[in-house]
Amino acid sequence: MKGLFRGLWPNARWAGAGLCAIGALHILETLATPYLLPAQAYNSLTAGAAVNTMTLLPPVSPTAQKVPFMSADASYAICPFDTQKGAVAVTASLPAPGWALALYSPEGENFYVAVAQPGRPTSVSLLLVAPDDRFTGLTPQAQGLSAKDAAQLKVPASQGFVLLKAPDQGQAYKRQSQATLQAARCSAQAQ
Amino acid sequence: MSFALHQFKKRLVYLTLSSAQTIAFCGAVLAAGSVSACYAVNTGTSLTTQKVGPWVTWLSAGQQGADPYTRAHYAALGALPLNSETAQLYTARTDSDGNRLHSSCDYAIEGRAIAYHWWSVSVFDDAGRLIANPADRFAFTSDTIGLRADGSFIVSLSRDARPDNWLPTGGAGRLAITFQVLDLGVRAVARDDDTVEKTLPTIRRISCK
Repeated sequence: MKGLFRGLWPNARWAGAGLCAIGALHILETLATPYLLPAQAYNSLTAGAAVNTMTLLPPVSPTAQKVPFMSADASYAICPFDTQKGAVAVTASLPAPGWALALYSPEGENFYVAVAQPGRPTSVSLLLVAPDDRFTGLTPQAQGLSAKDAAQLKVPASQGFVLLKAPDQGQAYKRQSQATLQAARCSAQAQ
Repeated sequence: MSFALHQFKKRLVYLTLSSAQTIAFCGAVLAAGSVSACYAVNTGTSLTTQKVGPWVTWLSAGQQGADPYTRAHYAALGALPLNSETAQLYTARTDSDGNRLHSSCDYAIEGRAIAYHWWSVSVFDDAGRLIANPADRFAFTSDTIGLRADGSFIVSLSRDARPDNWLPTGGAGRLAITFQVLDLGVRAVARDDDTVEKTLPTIRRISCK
């Protein structure tokens, strides 16, 4: 019996080494995937859109679908932001359920999202500030705004984008939705 | 001389065999590591996804502290989910009986409106592309769908035109259906399987051509 185990021992060592190697490769491949693949969604969504400016995206269709599984159940406006040279102010109105304002990092992390509440329009006013930075420009009061109007949001990445989603509520609401999307603002603040 | 040759041949055979073993071992390790990672990233496991009937959702989609599998899944897919704490996105690639969704078949998506929540049903091809169709119909939302008097709905998936809520599937081949619910402060779809099963629509195959 002892002899049998002694005979199996080298194989057991190989099996152990193999399992460890499989585990290491599995972990390495999983962890490396987000870094090896380019930020496809970020690149295709922000292509052609001016930085720190809200831009309306064309209606989602088979010929104008920027990312996989981007549904045609909504219209979108996008603002690629860059807080390296200063804070970025974002204001939008979310008039009805289904409306959402989301902030993404280039890696696709949705680190902030605001959705409309039923029965009352929701206004979103944010001041995006670079990570490990403090906004030293004009305060909201200096710009004639109430301090509570703009919530200061420290973003985890200095670059990223704001996505404003207007749900498809039917043909009758299309013009109103487009006007609300166009009224959304995204602009760099003076230092 | 012949003894030396014999020794050399023996050594050569040993080297060849041990090299073949090492190569086979490395190949097996590479294949097993890659296949297991691909499976965990593409399909998900019970730690990262919730599977209820035909529907699959990635539990920490879009979140900042998402697990590595979820991050890798969406990086590989190139899609942009909303934070799963705010919006629940369910994807189905099979019908409720487990058969692969295909454009050569007609399906009925049957469910009940989720009160006070915005939701949508969309159809895509297997890679997440919208399916071109003359009607320009790709999705129904809680605002645009035609509900029956009891609050239930049926969405017909078919190549040919159907009455009421029809989503054309053209000749797309394999299909994927998404069901998204936007949360308005309260989770519309709970995490426990029973509640999810009652809330999510069923996908019934009608016929195949």
